[in-house]
Amino acid sequence: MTARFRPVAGYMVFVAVLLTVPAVFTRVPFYTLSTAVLMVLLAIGALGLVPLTGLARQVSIGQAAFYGIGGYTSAVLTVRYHVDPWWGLLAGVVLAAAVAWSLGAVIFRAQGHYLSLATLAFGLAVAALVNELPVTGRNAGISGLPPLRILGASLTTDLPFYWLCAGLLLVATVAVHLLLRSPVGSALTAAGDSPIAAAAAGIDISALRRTAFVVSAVLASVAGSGYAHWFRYVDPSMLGLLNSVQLLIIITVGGRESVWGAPLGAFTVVTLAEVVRGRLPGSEAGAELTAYGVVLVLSLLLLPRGLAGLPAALRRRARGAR
Amino acid sequence: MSPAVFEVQDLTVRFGGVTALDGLSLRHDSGGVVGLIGANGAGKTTFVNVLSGVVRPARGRAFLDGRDLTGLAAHKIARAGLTRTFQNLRLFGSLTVLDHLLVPYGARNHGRQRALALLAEVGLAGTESRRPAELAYGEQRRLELARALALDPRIVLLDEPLAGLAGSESDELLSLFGRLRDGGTTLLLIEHDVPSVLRISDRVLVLDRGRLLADGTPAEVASDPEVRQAYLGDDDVRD
Repeated sequence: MTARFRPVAGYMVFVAVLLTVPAVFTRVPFYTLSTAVLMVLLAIGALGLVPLTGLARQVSIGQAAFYGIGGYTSAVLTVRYHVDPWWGLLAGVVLAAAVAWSLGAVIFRAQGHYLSLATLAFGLAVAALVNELPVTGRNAGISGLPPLRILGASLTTDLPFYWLCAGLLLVATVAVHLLLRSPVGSALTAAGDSPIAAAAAGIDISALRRTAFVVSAVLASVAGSGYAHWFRYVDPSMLGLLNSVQLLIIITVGGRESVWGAPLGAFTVVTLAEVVRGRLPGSEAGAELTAYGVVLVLSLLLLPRGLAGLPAALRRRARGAR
Repeated sequence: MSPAVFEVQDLTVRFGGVTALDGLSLRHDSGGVVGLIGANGAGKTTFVNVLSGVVRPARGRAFLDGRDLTGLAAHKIARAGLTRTFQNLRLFGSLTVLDHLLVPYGARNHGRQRALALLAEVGLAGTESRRPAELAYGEQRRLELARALALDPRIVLLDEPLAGLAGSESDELLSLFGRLRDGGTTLLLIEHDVPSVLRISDRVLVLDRGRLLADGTPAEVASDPEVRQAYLGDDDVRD
């Protein structure tokens, strides 16, 4: 297959998989439609890390904060102020983008790996804030969120909610794909490969990194809002460090340089979390962390470009064998 | 008086207790090739790093065509017309050769045709879809030069562009520098290959411990007793 038709084939397979998931997940043991919804939501959240971490090579350890900003904005606006859920989701996106833009303006002025430390601190600060503020329900969270509605129909069960999330994931994948293929994508790649040379070529790497950071925040916020309206409940555990680590592991295992890395990684990581749940000694979170650590190390050793890089690795190997 | 192509005034850079540039002042009014030589640690690369915005001076100012570049971010200096290559190659390993020329700020406006013409000019026609790792070392050097030229700069700073090249590759690159000079681009050439610098340069600057030791035509510099004693040595001059 020529490189030109590879993305088209990729999308055909992707749509086919999204369409068959409900039929498969309701027939095989172990998986459920709820698992499928969780995978798709995590894939949306992780997708934003492809431009930021995969291309620009900037690591954010605070994505759960944006996930939480999305979820809590939806919860506060819909439960406390009776705003329509879609406006709540949009408000979460705007707030997450504004916070990421402001934070990025400070962080990306300096060279180096400040983003990791700054986002770690930011994530902890937002989690502490949510735990203390009356409007966010303190540690009890907020319950009773209304379901999302489309054309007058409430999405109260897993199947219609899955279709909505799968549609959102497809749109987000196309949008990120177009971004990667654009001049901005090339400039992000250049800035990731050699920041000093990119700057010498006239590229404003601070502005580029900030743009990628905003994209990652927006997608994490959409996933957070989606999660909140699906569960109809939010609490501070949404903003836990483990959720940020989980998103990073998803794109590392799936492939951080490709849009296919997010869904592949989400499938693998959620499956792994389900497998280890109750089967490893110790607490559930501890067992999950141990499993993440093992799969991360294996992935970095065996598949540094993730599962999405497997076909290219196999092609190279086949060429080498000839 | 019309503004100099580039000018530095009292430029001082310190790294901890080490003074890399010590009150350096000079101006260059016309184009051509300016050779910059000096022993290791003389301050040559620091000078390039200051001009290109990688290092901020402790004191002093730098100008391009009369515009004060001091303290500007590296990308703004590049957009203002001062670009550079690096002593250790810094290419974009994930991008194709063609993308190296399309990615510089504003270069995409010139279009693919201009990028292809530039590749042909540096002798890289036919390599558009390759990645840097698939190029020979000399080709990688020329790709870095092409990337620096993609912004149509007023001046290009070349940090040891001949390092590691075979004799014929060096000669080809020197011919290319000559053509660029004839086309109106000013080149600041840092190089340890002193005979090559003396051969191609219109003006030669000699740095010694962050200060300007000599400044003149290649013949003047080559015959300067202080330069001969401090840096060149008789063998080098006879070459």
